[in-house]
Amino acid sequence: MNEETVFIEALTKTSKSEQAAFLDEACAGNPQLRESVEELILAHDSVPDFLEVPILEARNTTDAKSDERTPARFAETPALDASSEEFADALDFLKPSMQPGVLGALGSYPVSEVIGRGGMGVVLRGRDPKLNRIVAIKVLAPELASNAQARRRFLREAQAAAAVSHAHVVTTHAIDEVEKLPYIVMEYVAGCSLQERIERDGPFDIERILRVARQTAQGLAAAHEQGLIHRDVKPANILLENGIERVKLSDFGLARAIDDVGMTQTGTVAGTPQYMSPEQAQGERVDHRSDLFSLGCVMYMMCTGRSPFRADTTVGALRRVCDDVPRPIAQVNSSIPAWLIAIIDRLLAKRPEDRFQSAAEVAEILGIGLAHIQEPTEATQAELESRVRHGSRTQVPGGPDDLTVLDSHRPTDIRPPLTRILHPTRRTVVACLLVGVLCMIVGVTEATGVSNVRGFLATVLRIGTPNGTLLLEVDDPDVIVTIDGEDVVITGAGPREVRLKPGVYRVLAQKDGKVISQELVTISRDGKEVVKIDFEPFPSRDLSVASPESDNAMPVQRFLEVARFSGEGGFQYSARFSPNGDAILIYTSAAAPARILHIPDGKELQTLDGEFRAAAFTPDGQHIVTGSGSARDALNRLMVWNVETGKRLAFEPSVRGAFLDLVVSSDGQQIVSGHGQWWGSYTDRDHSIRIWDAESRQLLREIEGSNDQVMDLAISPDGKSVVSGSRDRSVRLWNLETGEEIRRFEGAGTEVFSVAFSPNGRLVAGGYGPDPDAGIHGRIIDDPDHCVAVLWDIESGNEVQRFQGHSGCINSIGFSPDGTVLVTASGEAHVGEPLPDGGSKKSRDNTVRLWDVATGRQLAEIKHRTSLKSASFSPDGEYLLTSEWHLVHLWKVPDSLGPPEVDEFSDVLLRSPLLVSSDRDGQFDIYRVDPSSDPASDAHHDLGSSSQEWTNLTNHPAEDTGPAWSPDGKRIAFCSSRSGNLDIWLMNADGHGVRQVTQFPGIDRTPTWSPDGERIAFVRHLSNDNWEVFVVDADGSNPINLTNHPAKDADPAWSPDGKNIAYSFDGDGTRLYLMDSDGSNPRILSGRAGSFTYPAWSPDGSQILFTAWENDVGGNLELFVINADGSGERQLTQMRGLNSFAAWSPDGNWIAFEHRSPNIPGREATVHVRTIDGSKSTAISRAEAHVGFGGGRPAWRPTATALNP
Amino acid sequence: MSDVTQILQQIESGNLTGAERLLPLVYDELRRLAAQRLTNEKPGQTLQATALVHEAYVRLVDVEAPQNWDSRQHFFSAAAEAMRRILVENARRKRTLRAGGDYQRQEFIEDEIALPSPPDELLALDEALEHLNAKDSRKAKLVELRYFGGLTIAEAADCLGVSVATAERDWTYAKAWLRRQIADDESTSDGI
Repeated sequence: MNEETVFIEALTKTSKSEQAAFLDEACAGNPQLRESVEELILAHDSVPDFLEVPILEARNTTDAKSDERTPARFAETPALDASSEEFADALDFLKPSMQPGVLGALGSYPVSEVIGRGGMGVVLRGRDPKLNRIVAIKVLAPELASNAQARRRFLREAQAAAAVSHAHVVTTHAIDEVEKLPYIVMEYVAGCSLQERIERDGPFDIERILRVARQTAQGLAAAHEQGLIHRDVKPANILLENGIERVKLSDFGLARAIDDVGMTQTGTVAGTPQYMSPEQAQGERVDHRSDLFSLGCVMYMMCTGRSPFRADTTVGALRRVCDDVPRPIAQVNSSIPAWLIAIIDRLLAKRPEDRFQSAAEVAEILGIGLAHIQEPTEATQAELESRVRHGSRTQVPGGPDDLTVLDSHRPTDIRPPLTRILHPTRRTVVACLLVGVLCMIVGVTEATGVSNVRGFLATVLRIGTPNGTLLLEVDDPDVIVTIDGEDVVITGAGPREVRLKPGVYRVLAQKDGKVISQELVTISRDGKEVVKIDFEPFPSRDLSVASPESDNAMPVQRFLEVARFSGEGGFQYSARFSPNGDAILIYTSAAAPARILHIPDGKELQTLDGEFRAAAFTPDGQHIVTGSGSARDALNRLMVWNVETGKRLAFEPSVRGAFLDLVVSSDGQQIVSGHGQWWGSYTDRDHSIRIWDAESRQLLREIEGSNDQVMDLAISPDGKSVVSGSRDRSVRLWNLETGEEIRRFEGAGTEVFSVAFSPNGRLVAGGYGPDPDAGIHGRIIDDPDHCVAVLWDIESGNEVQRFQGHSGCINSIGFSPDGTVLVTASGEAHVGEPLPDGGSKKSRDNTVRLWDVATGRQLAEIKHRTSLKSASFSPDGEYLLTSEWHLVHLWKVPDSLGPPEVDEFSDVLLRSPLLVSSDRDGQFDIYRVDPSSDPASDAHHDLGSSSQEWTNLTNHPAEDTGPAWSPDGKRIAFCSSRSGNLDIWLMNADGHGVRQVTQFPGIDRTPTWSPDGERIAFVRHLSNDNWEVFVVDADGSNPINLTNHPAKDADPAWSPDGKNIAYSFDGDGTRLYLMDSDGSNPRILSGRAGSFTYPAWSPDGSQILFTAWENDVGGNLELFVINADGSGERQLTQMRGLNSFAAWSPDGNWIAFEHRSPNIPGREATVHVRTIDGSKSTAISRAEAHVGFGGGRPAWRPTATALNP
Repeated sequence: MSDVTQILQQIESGNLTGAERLLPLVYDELRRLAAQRLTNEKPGQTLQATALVHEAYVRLVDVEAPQNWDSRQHFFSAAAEAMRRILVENARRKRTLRAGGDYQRQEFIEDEIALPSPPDELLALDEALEHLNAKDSRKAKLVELRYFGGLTIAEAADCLGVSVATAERDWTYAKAWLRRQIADDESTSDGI
């Protein structure tokens, strides 16, 4: 990739961290490229307005400084291309203008550009025609403006803001209204917001923090003097002018306007959750001290680069604001002096009376601080300490009184009483519920930063959406469910229904005081959400993996996700098991701490703050070895951490190249590291493998020889050799003692991303990436030829197995502990030169695959949403740990890894789609079921199960059921009530050409085709007690009664050879009958007692499936099979409920049938598909789809092989 | 039939030397129009590059004669370049003036053309644009069309015979590249 393509691609990343991660990968090994791209990004970001206005239209330079024509960003959203269609609609309110370069006019102001857009409206760049100056125009969002009260308040607040005239407050020029749409004309600030600055620069230095904070406080003081409360002080509303970075406070009062939008509930919450004061979050009355709390949040962010109350949801942020203590600043940024921390802590006091009492006071103290920083004296130090303490009415525990010890880096602590942390107050609950409503109205959907969901969720949560209610299904009576923190809503097992207003809710399930599940649920107006919470104790060795729908005899071999870790979005995570399997280490090369989690309960054992490009446990599990890889100008360090204490051991050797992988020998004596140029020095290329003494961290040996990044390493079980995989396209075996190359393994010839040793040390595996020049479809690399895993015999160096199936880069490879299964994980790869159109190449194979080492056969596949970084077995082989972009999953490995039913079943579907009748859309129609064509659309919750696409073929208000493919697969016979009665109808395979076959005032159903496709047999109800099997030509002519017996003869099924028809007989008892196809020679096939219905021939004609009561007294309807000669009768299914309407797949390996649960009344049913021997099974339609009655058997389309055996 | 129309038709029929003859004509017309506008219109009126170019087009090209978009492209392309030259010359004069050069009354009256940016900035851009031209002339032309000619992305894309998406990518890259180049030049000259 060249500079241009990397730059363009980098701009598409939505967050800085994602961008950084992308650059890490795209500029791997090319620091010059990285630097030049970063300069471009900086240039792009710093002056977004550059050249955007044609030269002669932009002559407003009298008040703007040279080269600083950047528009202020008034909203957190980036400036948008106003010409985009997306925006065209939103600007309806502009009067059309004939002037070129002008979007339209608002009042007398020509508008040239949309600067930004927020929840409340749009900010435009316009020109004041009278004074000929550029102005910013803020327009209240039309949806808010339709509320008269909101409009009045918007104008009133704008008027109040206009009264504030201060250097650090954006000047309001005019307030006006056009057709009831109010707008504010304001000073145009050339610069960008504090938010953008922090995102770009990270934490500020102290002087800058003090300067910005002080000016902000001064601006607030001026506003407070006018009796105006800002209510939404946040970095995005603090504009920094270009050049001297003068603060301009913007967005006064807009938050207040929102308060008035038709909220019928009690007080409402407006503002930005992460920066909101507790009293504001709780919908209580606020005064100017609320702004001071927000100012504290802003200062915290300038110190640390992050907001203090980040949470993964709005509700979470609010809860934290009310009840939580932010992470001590000293822990994040040790350069912040104690007195400044004390100032911020006091601003962040939960109770307004514990804060400073005025913005002016804060500004003054910050001024002293600024002086102190510029010229530190004991006098200023003393004054600061006394001022910080002064006026504190209520003693804050651990607060200002501890100032003297603060210098020893002890974090300040303003922790509220412990009970309050553990038991969120009722007030929080109210606040959270209010926010649910707020989100809906204002559309506040911003991510609130880093997720604080650190623990594992030891449960499986499935969310489905049939038809505002929330259906919760709880399997375990001990589970307590809360919604948005509101105490016990539901306890005990069984479904309950809760009515909720539309909005976003957090559903939390707890057991024995531990959180076992939490999920955000969106309730839409007419929607219905089902949350199913089945508690699966974890880890449980006797955990049986069973189908949720069946109780027994239906082993479903799917990977069950038993736990999940959510990290920050945009970060590529890696995960490793501890040696004893009790803990996992999760780390990312981006700027986020590594975490060690205890597996049984998901408890966080340790957080490690550092830079991690590579990490590994020592064999005793007591230490973690890490290597950095992102320090730009610094050398990269090898670090060893004590797991128990979280402390780093002294002596951290440093080297030039980034640590790309780290492994520790099994005796714990040696650490081996693989390197590559990531950043760092541009001239030195460090692609070495280094061997360190684990105890002393002294470098023992350095192996040179790789010509490109060493991506992955593995030490042999005997500790004598190490295998390396490099982007120089080689897999090599090295002698650890001598550093000599022992052997080189030949594989796919492309770049190598992963290597592994088999547990017995005899085999080496390597995972390859794509050939940059091969298999490109658009910008997606699809290269199954090269993205292979290869297995070599270590003695001979010969290739012994090749695993083909991935189409993207194999980022991770590993063996099961017993060495029989290989696990590979595939993800994105940026390789080769850019495409002609400037795009970059990526692979999109986000799968984890398991392979049979012995045969090379693929055993299973787990699809993920994003690029995978790692996948590994737990030490006991029972679990699989996989990591993708911001998620780490823990899977239970099925007891026996058979061939994946998913793919095989999909293959069957692909060859021969299944017909099903269902009322999933409210009326019974015939659906064609195909395997899903878009793997990316797979629901995450259904990983491991197949997905299908359902196509409605009939879509007619009448009941259409009982479909049957014609033998040539071109026509479908079905049963329909369109004529008023149930009759047999025909249509083409695509649903067109519908025509009626039978016309009789009785009921005709269950059509079955003669193998030559000429005739259709069906059952006709002549009266309640007299049903006959008829046969008719496919065009409806020549109906013949085949049975002609005053009893119920029903459910005909034509044998594949066309000679016989099986049918059910109900006269003096029910029997399964067989007759010749002309109706002669009727004979009993099965003498079994019970009701025999719905026979179905196997494609080879040797067996017949049928349905019967399991025993004489009733009970379950089960599927049975009998040989065509009447021998070998046996029961196939053992499921509670009613199982009927069976059909064979054309290859004879699968059967599809309808299953009704005895627990679900009415017509609800699911279609089950399983192999004949029951080894594999899947339900292709969950509760949402119901098979039709009256002949609702599913039907596979015949295949060519079935036609011509 | 006007000269320009003739030239455009020549270009259409494959006579590429026509393009060389087009520029001076367009240049002159634009200068004349701009000066006329500036003296006749009320103070504070914004000069619209687009409007100027379009007006020049209407004046110079015989609109009765059949034109295809190809020839209009050539015209706008020339117009953008002309506009750039006019402004850059203006900036140079201003700088000379500031540096104590002789004041010469020009057809253009400097004080009446409020350059959108200080002369130095415009000249720096001009220089950076030359660098870009050497590296990637398509992108340089795009900038000329957009910034000096006032064309929209879509029009410029048409002019250059590329897709809008490509033009947008080029535009984003070119802007950042120029910005960086200007910054580099500044720091270099600061250092000397």
